[in-house]
Amino acid sequence: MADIHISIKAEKIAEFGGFDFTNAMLGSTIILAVLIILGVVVQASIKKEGRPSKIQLAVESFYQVLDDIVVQSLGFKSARKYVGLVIVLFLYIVLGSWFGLIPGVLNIGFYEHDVFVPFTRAPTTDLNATTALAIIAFLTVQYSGFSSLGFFGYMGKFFTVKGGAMGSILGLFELISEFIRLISWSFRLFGNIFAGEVLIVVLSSLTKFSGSEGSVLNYIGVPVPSLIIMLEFLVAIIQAYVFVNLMTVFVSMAAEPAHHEDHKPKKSMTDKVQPIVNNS
Amino acid sequence: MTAETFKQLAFAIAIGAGTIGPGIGIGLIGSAGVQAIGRNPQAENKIRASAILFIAFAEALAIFALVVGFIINFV
Repeated sequence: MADIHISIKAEKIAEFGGFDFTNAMLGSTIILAVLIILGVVVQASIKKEGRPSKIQLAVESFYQVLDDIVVQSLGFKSARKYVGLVIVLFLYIVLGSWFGLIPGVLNIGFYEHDVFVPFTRAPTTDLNATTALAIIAFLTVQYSGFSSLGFFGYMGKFFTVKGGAMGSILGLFELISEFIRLISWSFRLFGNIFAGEVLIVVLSSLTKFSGSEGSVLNYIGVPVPSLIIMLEFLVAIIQAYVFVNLMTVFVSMAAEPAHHEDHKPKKSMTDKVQPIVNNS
Repeated sequence: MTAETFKQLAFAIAIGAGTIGPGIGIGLIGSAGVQAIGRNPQAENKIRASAILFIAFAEALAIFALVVGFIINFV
């Protein structure tokens, strides 16, 4: 078991004048290229008349699923602003995590001072990337709060004297919890995907027949981690869904006015449901 | 006992004790979710979506414990 090398930090593979280019950055660049190519291909296959093409049908049904998630929390009108970001974040997290499950991605590399450094690594296994995604989500939530309530309205939710001493302390707690969400988002995603990758590496190294280096028996344990890889496919989708769902829920919560004022009816009450049933 | 041994022991204790709470929590959320589906089978999609969300919250705490264990052992 001595030849596995797990490192939480993404290893450096090149250097551009003092700026370290790590293998997770290379993975992230590959994912971005895939996303851009996907966007171009889908855009080119949209037909305005006649039957929609197969790619268009698949992409539209995927869009519909995420659109439903956003509309559930935000209502029809305000959802338009956020659905694009939601889809990009979802795709980046899912593809970035699936990238580490492709056979060979973590095994092709070079030796540097007796330590094996793979060329690529899934970007969501790097805490830098997940923190960047968490910062994007945090800024989106703040944007939603500032744009719905105005600068002083939104700040008034945290620094308030209206509720007395209790209200101001609760406001400060809410301010702290806004920042704790950053840590929660980034560590949840990082921990899930990184732990899955470590599990696969450890399981692969455990299911080798020791002492059979040259023969075929050495590879008899290769299908064993495939079950974990299947689980990690599902975990990536679930974690992306949770990330995006939490961002949507917090966006809708940030747009609400503060609670301890006289209860005015919420503005967006009428566009939360399509008016079919009576919603008294 | 060397520092290396303590690191490995600390990793094991961190992840072992850190999964007790989230385990109980996920069990409670799951049971409430399943009971809610039993009472109102039409709302299954919404209940399942909410339950997955809450379970991810609870699981995040176990993941924090795991990451702390990794940091103790490898950093």
